Amino acid sequence: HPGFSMGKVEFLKQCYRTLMLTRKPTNEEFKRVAKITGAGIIIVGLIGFLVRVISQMLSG
Amino acid sequence: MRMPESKLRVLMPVIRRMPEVSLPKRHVSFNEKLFWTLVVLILFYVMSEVKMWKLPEELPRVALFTDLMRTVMASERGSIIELGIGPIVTGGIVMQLLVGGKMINIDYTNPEDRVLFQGTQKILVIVLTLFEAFTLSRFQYAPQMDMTTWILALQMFIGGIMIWFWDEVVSKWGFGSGVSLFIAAGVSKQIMWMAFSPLETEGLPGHKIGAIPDFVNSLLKGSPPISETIIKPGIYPDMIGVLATIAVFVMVVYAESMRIEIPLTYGSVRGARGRYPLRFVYVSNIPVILTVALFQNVRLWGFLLHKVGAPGADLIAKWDVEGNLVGGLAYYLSSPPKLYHSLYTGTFMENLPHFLVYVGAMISFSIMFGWLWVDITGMDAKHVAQQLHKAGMQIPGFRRDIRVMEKILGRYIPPITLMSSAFIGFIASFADLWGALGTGTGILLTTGIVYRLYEEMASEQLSEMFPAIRKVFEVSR
Repeated sequence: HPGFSMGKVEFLKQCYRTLMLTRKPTNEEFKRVAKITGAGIIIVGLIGFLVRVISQMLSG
Repeated sequence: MRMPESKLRVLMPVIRRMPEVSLPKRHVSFNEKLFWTLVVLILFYVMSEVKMWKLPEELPRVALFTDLMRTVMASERGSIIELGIGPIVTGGIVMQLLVGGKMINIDYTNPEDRVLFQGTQKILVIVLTLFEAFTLSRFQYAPQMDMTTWILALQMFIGGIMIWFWDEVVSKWGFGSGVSLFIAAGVSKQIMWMAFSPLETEGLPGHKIGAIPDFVNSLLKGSPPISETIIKPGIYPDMIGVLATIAVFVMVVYAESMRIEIPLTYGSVRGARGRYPLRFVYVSNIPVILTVALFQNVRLWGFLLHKVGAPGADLIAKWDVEGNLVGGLAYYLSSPPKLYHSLYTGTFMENLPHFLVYVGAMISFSIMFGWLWVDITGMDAKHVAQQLHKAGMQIPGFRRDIRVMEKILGRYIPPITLMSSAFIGFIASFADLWGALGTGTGILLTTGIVYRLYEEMASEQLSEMFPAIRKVFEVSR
């Protein structure tokens, strides 16, 4: 595979360089994504939670 | 449309007669898509509460499906949807490997071939649903092979077909795909239930199932000692699990937003500079699902070999008299006891090999499957370069040459494939050691799914408000 053709050490150095080059999310961008996915999980989870509570009550 | 030469065309008469959810002829409005997605979501939740008729009172100890496997397969133990999306995922993986391994030649551009591919996949899923329903009923719930075995198998089969049907409804008329919706729904419910359930636990007297109510309860009444709600013995969620859940969620969200921007320009348009953002988490969640499915199969085959009494079965999986897995490869590949439990109860050294093997195996297999997946689905440097070249893009400062683009992409794609696969394998396994609610793999999958769902809904709403833009989205879809 091309990744390994240039030798292990060289490849690991390239991994490090790539990691350094990666654009990390800005604080504001991170908060936005966290809020969206967090809210999504809570809302969807809440529906499931309510359905289970109702079914537990029905089955006594 | 020329007839597909693939030998699968013998299945054509069957495929033509199979019922199918019709593709929408017109543009499906945002509200309609939302409606169908919510309807299927609620149906999924209601069905997961419907216990199977004639289910044995005392569920047998030998759990073929581990909890981690259930999370990834959106299955609810003992309910009609016991199989969850198992058959669909397995069918999809088998078809992808067959095409990737060039065992069957499918040319996606020819619509006739595509109909053949999807039809074959459908037949495979039905057969797998039948097989898994019978295997589970025969080996797990009703080994005595009487009427009950058949009744349970039938119910699991019906549940499997319903899940598959709903997946079609959501994939064609709703947002995202049914499979991802069910995974996200199952995990989200589990996180909320394990965090907030007010019900009493059977196993531990005086404790509530939900970690937070239990903690608050002991704060107010002091009845169960505080320490027991922070580190709770047994399988019930505790406060450390809640903290682990939040930590994993933050790490995953951070990594999912990391990008590597490759400067690109449109060859013909002077000065139109663009950036092709390569996602750092380049490999999707499929490698983790493949890894968990592989470990699950080791456990299943270990169980079958043990049943048959094959020599050396103990090497694969050793079961004690009550049916608990105590040794063999399968033991080390299934999630170990919680790390902080071992520390608290002083059994850390004893479980250390299990921790190391489990985390090590998850990381290395995620990398292997990640590499395989990038090659099979054409996400490697060569194919991406071709796609960009076809779209008329080029690297600024270089002649419009596909080899140049491939070389530059080749410098970034292999490293992020390796790093993201390792990261995903690490997060999935390490989070399990800290009792993250809904398991690390579950949080990993769900975060990605929910965010992509949001992006799709946002772009759909945008195109609703500005019909002109819809043409652009139609083109790119």
